[in-house]
Amino acid sequence: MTEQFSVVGKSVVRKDAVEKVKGTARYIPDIQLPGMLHAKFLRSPHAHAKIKSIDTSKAEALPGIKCVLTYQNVPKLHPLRKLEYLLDETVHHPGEEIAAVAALTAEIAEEALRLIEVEYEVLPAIFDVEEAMKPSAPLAHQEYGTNIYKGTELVRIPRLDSDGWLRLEVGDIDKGFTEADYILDGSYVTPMQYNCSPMPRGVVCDWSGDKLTCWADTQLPLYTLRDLVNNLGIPQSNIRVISNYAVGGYGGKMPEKTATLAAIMAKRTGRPVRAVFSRAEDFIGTHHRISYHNYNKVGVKKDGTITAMYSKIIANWGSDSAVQYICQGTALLDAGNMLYEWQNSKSETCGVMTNILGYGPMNGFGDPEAMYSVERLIDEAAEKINMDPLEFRLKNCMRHGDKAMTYEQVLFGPIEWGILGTDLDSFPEMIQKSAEAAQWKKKWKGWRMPMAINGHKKQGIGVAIGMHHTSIWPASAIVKMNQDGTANVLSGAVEIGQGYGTAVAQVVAETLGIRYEDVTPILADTGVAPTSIGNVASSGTSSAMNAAKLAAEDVKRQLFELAAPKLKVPVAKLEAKDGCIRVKGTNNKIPIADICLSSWQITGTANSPLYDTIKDEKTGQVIHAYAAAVTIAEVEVDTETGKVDVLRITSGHDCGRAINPVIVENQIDLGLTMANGWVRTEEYIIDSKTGVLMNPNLLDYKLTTFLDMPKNDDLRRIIVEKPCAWGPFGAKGFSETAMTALAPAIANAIYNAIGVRIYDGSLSPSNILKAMEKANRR
Amino acid sequence: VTELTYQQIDVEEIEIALSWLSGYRDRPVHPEYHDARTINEAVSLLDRYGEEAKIIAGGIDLVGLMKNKVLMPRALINIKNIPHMKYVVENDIGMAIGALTLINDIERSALIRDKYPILFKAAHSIASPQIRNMATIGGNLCQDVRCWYYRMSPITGISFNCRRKRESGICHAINGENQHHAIIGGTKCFAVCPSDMATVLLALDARINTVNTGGGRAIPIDEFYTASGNILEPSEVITSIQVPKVSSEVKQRFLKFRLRRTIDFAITSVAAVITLNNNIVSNARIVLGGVSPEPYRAVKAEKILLGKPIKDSVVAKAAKASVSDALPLSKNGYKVLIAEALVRRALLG
Repeated sequence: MTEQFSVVGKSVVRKDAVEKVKGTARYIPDIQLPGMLHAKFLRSPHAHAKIKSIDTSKAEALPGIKCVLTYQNVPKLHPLRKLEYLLDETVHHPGEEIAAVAALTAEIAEEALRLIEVEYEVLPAIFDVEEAMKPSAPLAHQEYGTNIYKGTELVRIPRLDSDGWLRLEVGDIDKGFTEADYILDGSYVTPMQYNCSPMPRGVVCDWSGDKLTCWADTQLPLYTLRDLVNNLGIPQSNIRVISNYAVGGYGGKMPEKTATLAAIMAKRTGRPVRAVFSRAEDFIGTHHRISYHNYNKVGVKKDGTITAMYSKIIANWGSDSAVQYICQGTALLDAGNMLYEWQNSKSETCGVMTNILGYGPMNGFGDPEAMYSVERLIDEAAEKINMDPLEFRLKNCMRHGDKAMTYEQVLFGPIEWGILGTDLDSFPEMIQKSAEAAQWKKKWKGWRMPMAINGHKKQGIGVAIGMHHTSIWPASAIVKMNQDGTANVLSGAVEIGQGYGTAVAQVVAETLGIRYEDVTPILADTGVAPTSIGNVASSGTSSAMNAAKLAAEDVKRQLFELAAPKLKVPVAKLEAKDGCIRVKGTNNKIPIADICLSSWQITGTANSPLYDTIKDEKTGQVIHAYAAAVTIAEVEVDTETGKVDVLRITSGHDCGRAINPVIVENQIDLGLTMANGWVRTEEYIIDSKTGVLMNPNLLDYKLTTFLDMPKNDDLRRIIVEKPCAWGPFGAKGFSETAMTALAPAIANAIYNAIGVRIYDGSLSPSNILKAMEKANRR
Repeated sequence: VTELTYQQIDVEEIEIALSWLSGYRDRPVHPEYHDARTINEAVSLLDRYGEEAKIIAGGIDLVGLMKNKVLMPRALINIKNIPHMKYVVENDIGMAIGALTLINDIERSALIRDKYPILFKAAHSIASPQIRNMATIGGNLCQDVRCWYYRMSPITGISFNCRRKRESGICHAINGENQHHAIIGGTKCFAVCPSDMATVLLALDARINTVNTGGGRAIPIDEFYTASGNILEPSEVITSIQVPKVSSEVKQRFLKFRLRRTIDFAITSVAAVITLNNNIVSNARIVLGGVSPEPYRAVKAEKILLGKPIKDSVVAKAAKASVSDALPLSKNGYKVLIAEALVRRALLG
């Protein structure tokens, strides 16, 4: 299939490769402006406390200090529609900002923090989610009146029930369980996770009169813009957010209130202000993948039919959430009806506030948390009926025509199920190809039969599937032709390391029949690029890049119209190829550069539509784009030390069309690495007495290294291309699915190796030894 | 010209701020920096500042402690440029290693790889190549504990009044997050000695040579560490490490357990040096790392081995004895099982 393309489907060299490798790329912390000040933030030592008094006079008197902000001199507003104020009189987690200082150097700013005298009234704090749900529990936010989040005046979630729970039901769950031959259930706690960008978050704000330029290291320039507009009360047209050279956000580089605080300090001092976090601040001062307490119950027939699924998801939001229920909406879909077509399901969730770090989105957006427990329980169900777990998934996985919906419908309604597109028929093929590549039939020896035993080391193999909803948002883009026949593509999406700038150039070059080298993207500058949400929900390819493709087609149409009279043929006979507009099947052509030189105005614009505009011809139902994944993990467990080594991973993915196969493989590797660390080594050590995160550094927070992943030959990536109804050349977003299936596959492989399931938290040596000891006692 | 003037104003103001802060805190914001040319110069500088000066060589541990405001020295004394302190040489009684020898040099020394394979293995396991290329063996032996209560960065807003910092403090790990803390020998502070070099050098029965104002001394390594650090006096500097001869028949084993395959300190490690005569153990030194405030010599295990052959039943008994003094805290019981398994593997391997 890829043969028909000249640029798409080829692993061209990335646009940003040379400058990033040579160190000439200018990241946010590299920005130096004349007279620039440096901001630092004073943070709360307490999990929950009210400021009785705060004395900043000494700090203000220190030479070099240009501005000090506290709750007393900033506007009382809710950044990101959160419960907390920009700077609050009451703090709700350890490390919450209580003052901001701008100084001539970062060092003087930090010294000034130590000169601020604060007296606190310490309030009772709550960290444990189950404790927090008890009526007698201390309140994480006293003024809110309950620990269960039910929305605010700014955050209205229409489908939230009055008890604060969000629910999604399909069919008749009771009937479903009655029809089951077996009913299995389990409780699972999923671990927290730090997004861990290679570069901690940062922002530089600079005013020119009443116009603000904000260089922000974010994957969401548009939301940063909107948050600044809300907080500063000025029109969108007066703020320009630039996010070139943003660095891997994995969901976490969303707007932070530091942008607003820096903007206020820049305005008050008349100087540019830079606020760049250290690694510890990046841990403590931002949002996190939080812990879900899941209870799942499944009904299954002897023939492998799933009759009912019930899921209860209690989310420990920590002090506040920047994603009020939206990740949980996704999780409800996952648990309710995403991986498998279940006729009867019920899932419900609630968000509980405590006084630990707050909640933000991260790679998978609720999927990994929900699927980690579902895919483990499904494994138990397959064991109960003694069916090969891979066969069980093949039998039940979703296909074209199965029910589908968006998380936004779960939150805001109406509940109208659409269907999955024809691309989802790739799922069985993907499972089969991955099984062959992993030699599943040879290695799977049966339930409780380890793959291999080598003394006290036991090897096991496990499988899981994953899913993610993609291609959600509308977007617009501009393709601007230059007079030498080169093109610029203006797009609001961000090159954040994932390769967007490269792939969008490939798509535009392919559409216009010009060279990849002749397309230069101009990205993520709200003052220049048209509106796009940025990079979330794996939608860069299917939303923003699709708009760019349509804008390039608009350019092509204009080129054809200008060329047709000169070539003396109708437009229908023309094609764009090799830098020329040619008459199909002849040698008759005009170089695109010539058309551009004589015509001064060739600019293409286009909008990529909202998700629910494409309908299935037969049923009239909306088609949804889900991306699917399957992962087979092989592990070795040291039964004496509890250590798990991941030996081999085979991971199948469905991206509709691989615009750039190497970038697709890189995305797969990223997701797999992240999942591997999430459940095995990365652990939030939260002090049970104070609620303090004890390991806000990369030595104690154990992000996996290259050596902790299987070697390249043992990491098999299977790419299946079945074009999607959306997206440029049938491509769809898939990157977040790469994370979803590995974690449960590892857990299932551990079970195959040692015959013990670990339900609670991380698959750490400590937890594995504990679970084995418990199993031995039984 | 206008821009220059503008910046000049800032530069002057920065200087005023720093000098005001130095006065206010009664110590320089930036420590005074001395480049010692001889070891005697370093010792006399140390003597002049008392406890307020710190030696810097690789700076791997010290800079982190200063960033986190655990240490705020008045002066830094650089010893990196002192000549003739970077060597690995064989001598009559074994081998001497200069205090400024890089971990990387130890890893690459043919002599060490050949005659002291556990020293090579431990060096190779330390941190990352970049760090090994900066870190010195002297610094490795003197490094401070990694306890997260002790090291918490104050930029987080939080700092713990910890027993290791102040007499008035308590060890927060005892009833807190003690996953990585001591299972043996903790009393006031439960942080463990993090040095892999210490674990191995204790198994090899090394001596630490130092100089101080009174001359110098050779400290047997089992006397070097205490529950709260080491016995170096404020004006004392390590100059070299003397490792005794080890016959080629002696079995040497080093095993290190950690979560990641690189970078991490040992959760638990074991160094074993076993001499066999006709398959009977005639001498045994077994040292556990990561389990105690000091490198822990498992004397009970050694005694069980003496006079016996290395066979499964003896090894199992010795391994059990190596952790028989363990009193794990709430969250570090798994270390007992791992330590026992490592001792067993070290002896049988």
